[in-house]
Amino acid sequence: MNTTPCLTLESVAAGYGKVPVISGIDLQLNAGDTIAVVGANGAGKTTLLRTIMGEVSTSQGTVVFDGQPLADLPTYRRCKMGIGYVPEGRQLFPDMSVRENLELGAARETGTERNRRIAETLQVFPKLQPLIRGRCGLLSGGEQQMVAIARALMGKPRLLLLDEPSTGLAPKIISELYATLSSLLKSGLTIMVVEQNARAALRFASRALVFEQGRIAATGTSKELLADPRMVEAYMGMAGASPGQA
Amino acid sequence: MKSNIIQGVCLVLLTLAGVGIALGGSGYYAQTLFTIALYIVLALGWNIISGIAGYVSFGQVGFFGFGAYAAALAMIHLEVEWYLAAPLAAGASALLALVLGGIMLRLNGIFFALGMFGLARILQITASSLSITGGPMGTTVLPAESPNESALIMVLVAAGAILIVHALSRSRLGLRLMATRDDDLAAQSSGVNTFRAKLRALCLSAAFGGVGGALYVWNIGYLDPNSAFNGNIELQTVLMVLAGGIGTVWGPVIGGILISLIGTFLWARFPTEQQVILGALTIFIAVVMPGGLTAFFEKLGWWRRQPIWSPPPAASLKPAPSPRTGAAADEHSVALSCRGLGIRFGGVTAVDDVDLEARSGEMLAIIGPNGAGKSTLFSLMSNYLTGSGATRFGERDIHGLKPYALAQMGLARTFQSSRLFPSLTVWETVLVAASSGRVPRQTAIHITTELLRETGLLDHWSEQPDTLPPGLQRLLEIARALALRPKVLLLDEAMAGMTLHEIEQVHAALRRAMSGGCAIVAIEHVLPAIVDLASRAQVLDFGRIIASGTPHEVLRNPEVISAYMGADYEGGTQ
Amino acid sequence: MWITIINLLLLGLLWGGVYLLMATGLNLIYGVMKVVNLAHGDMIIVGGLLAFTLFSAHGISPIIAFPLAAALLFVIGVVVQFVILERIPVKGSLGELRTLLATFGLSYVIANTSFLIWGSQFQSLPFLQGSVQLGRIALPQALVAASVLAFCAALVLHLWLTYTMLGKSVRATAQSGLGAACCGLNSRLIRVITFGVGAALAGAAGSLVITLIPFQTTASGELTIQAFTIIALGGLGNYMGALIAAEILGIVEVFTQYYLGSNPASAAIYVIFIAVLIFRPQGLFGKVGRV
Repeated sequence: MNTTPCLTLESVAAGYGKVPVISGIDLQLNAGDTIAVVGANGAGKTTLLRTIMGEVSTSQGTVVFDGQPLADLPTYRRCKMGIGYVPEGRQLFPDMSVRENLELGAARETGTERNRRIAETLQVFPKLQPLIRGRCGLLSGGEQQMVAIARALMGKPRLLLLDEPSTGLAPKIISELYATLSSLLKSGLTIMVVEQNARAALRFASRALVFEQGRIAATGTSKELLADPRMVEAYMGMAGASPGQA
Repeated sequence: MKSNIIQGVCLVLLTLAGVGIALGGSGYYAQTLFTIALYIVLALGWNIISGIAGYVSFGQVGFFGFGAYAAALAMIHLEVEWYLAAPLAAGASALLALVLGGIMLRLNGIFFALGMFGLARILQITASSLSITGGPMGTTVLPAESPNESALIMVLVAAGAILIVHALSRSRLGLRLMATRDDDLAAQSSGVNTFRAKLRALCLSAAFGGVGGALYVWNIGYLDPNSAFNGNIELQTVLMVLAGGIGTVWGPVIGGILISLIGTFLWARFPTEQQVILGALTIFIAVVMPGGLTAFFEKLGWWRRQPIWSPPPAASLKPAPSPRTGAAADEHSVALSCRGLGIRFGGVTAVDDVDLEARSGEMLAIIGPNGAGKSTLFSLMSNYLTGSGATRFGERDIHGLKPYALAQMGLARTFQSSRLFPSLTVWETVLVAASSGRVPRQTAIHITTELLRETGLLDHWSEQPDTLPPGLQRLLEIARALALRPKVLLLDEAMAGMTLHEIEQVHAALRRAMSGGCAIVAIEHVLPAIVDLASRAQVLDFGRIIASGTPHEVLRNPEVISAYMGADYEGGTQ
Repeated sequence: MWITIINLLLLGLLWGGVYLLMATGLNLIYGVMKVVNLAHGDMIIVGGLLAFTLFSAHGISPIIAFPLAAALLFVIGVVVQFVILERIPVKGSLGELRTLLATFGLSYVIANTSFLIWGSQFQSLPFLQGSVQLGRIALPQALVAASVLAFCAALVLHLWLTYTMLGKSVRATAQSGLGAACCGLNSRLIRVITFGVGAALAGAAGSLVITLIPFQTTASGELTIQAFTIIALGGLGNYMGALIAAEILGIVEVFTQYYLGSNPASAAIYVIFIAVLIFRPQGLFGKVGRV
């Protein structure tokens, strides 16, 4: 059993300008872990993912994946190393078919291997089978989200990062999505999901991080955080959580 | 102040040196001086549209040639002297720019650049084909008596050009151009008519080119299409500005002198390889040091751009002027009302039949999960997007009004992701909005000072926005919106990522605005930020309003909770 | 009269093929890197003059020169992108501006270098000077050959973009740079290849056009304007649109030449250029041109 942690962040600070958006981030994920990152908009959740992916450079600290420091590696190299990334807004290729989008997820493999992986992926996402020749730009939000995740899976990643996958999706589709993600865990995949819809993410993941103003404000198991009434307050401003009060 | 004195002294010294050479030097030196001074004028002109306004043009030589022909024709057919032909040429070029700019400045940068690129060629072909311009063989005019005479005039014109550009860079127009260059949309939302500002810049730029052309033809006495529209002129002009520092006042001057000298040297030693060397130099500078020498000096700390206007040294404590219309609005009267707003993108309905009202002195909160369409709704309300439905601002239907006009009327907004002006200081950022429309200078300065003080940003007044922590950056955006003295303020997740202290400052500023009669509509995703301030709330999900009422009512609505937290939420609610 | 019209139409369609090849390289580069290569016209001229030299000094037929010019310009394009343009950080509009300025300087470097090699007089390549007779219709042989080769090249490009992984990677990068990175695609490599192919297409087009009209090292600006007009009319980045726009231009020019003379014909491109800017910057089929 591989005991190297899958992903380690140590004292990471990162940002876009001269002032860091996130700081003091310490995090360790082992193979097979699932973790949800929740918090208000602007708290730094997306920046965390972008830092891991190399879109944003660290001003402090180290990011290590599978024992290898990621330092200045560009995004595409990190993907090749085995980190699957489903960014906010999905970033599909709208004028290309679903099949082509999937193929590009395994662009460096041989044609036979690619076809094999596509067949595998379609078993995970059977709803994509009838859509396989359709243009991605014409699909619904939920369908596009499936293609985005499927495309990331084509690269056989060991770590999967998802940025707000439930944005704009109906609750039923969201549950289906997370059910599919759960089914992927059997293969030893590690999953980190940033979510605004806290409940779905917390039900799926075993651990959670709560982000506030660029720092980790709380961590724990999902059960703990879900049952905590302060979570609801933090999101919806009920009793006691407004500025000016303790 | 000190910087102005230094610049003034430099200018006087340079001018005196130029005049001295012009009067005392030999014909060769005078001619070289003429060329240098001419290029300085062309470079300053190009810099106005490409550097300060940020709309890169490759057609400066077009205005140069056009001005040269205009002057030549005036001197031949209207029998005027050079001192009338030159202003005429400047005017004609400016007029041409007015027509062209009217078409091309509405296009994005690449079309403008290519359009101007094509302009020079079109003008060259036209000059070649018409008999009035002498066709391909060109035409002659009565030249200046000696190169010394034309050099003297050219030096004085160059000095004048430097003065004009300096004045521009410290003026309201210059401020607006720089804001437009940094972020056209944000400038419009701060009340700047960006199209008109760019048009003025283009006309000024063209006038510089035109006067240069006129004096060129007077100097040399002969004009043909090939030399009037020579690509070499364009190359050297661009290179000079790049080398010296694009977007600055003295950059084109330094670059002009430097590259002219290099060019003259090359012309003597490598006449046929000149363009290779200059072209390679252009590439080098564009890749390695795009800010030119000026950026280099800035890094060394030798030089810094002076902010435009500045806060008064000892500010007195006067109350801020009231919202734009003068008379304070009636408490609770409807300042903004929307009926049936909707928009579709492809097959997706982003906003679906939304009605809402914003009342003076009150805050309406718009809440909802990400992707619900809240920012799209704001864009519809402020005419950044056009969809179905109608919005009334006070009594007036605002359909078709441009965003900058709305801003000037008192409808302000912030954006979900910060849109600040990277090259302006904190002071200038707020000043852009405070001085929009026809607000007098002293009033604008007063408003800006008061706002910065109220939001606690006054100590940072001369800093660049990217040195501020994210929370202060959002605060700055709010201050900029408030500087419009709005009757209606749309805040789009303005307090995301702020510390508690910063949120308190924003609350204080918003309370002040509301007590002055402002109506606020605030999108917030997380509610602790505004639940104290908002008197009403509406919840948006999938583009439709699913609940309305007071914030507390709305937040206990089970439909709302499930929209946020996911269906069948079982967590702890009281 | 009908015969004349059909004859002109065919001529226009043939010219359209050649114009398409002249414009496609620019479209490819713009699609992936959102930059108009201002040295495009100069690259066309280099291709043409290379073919001229191969023919006049070594007797090599332009049909062979066609792929050779493409190969040479491919190498030049790769070197330019890798050595120069890749050094400019791709950060939004400032990066695009600097790239534009770099290609502006590059245009002069290439034009001047061509001048040093070939001088400034007009050069032409007399090849296949007969005509093809189809009943009562006469078509210049050189034009037919050039057009056929041009359409073949455009077809090869289309097949490459549509059916090969590398071609699909190029299209993908044009549609979403981040998405391409998520697929592990090396965007630097793709940009280098794209610029190389774009330059190669320009060079190949040049080697064909010189058999039809004479070339001069200083005439590049007009070619760049023409290529830009075609891709703008068709919608920037839109290949189908460029085909239609190129055909429109070909037909308009041929008819104008016949009925109004050659000066108005060469002005036709500029008239279309201005019309596109004024009325339809997003092109007939394309997306955005307006601020």
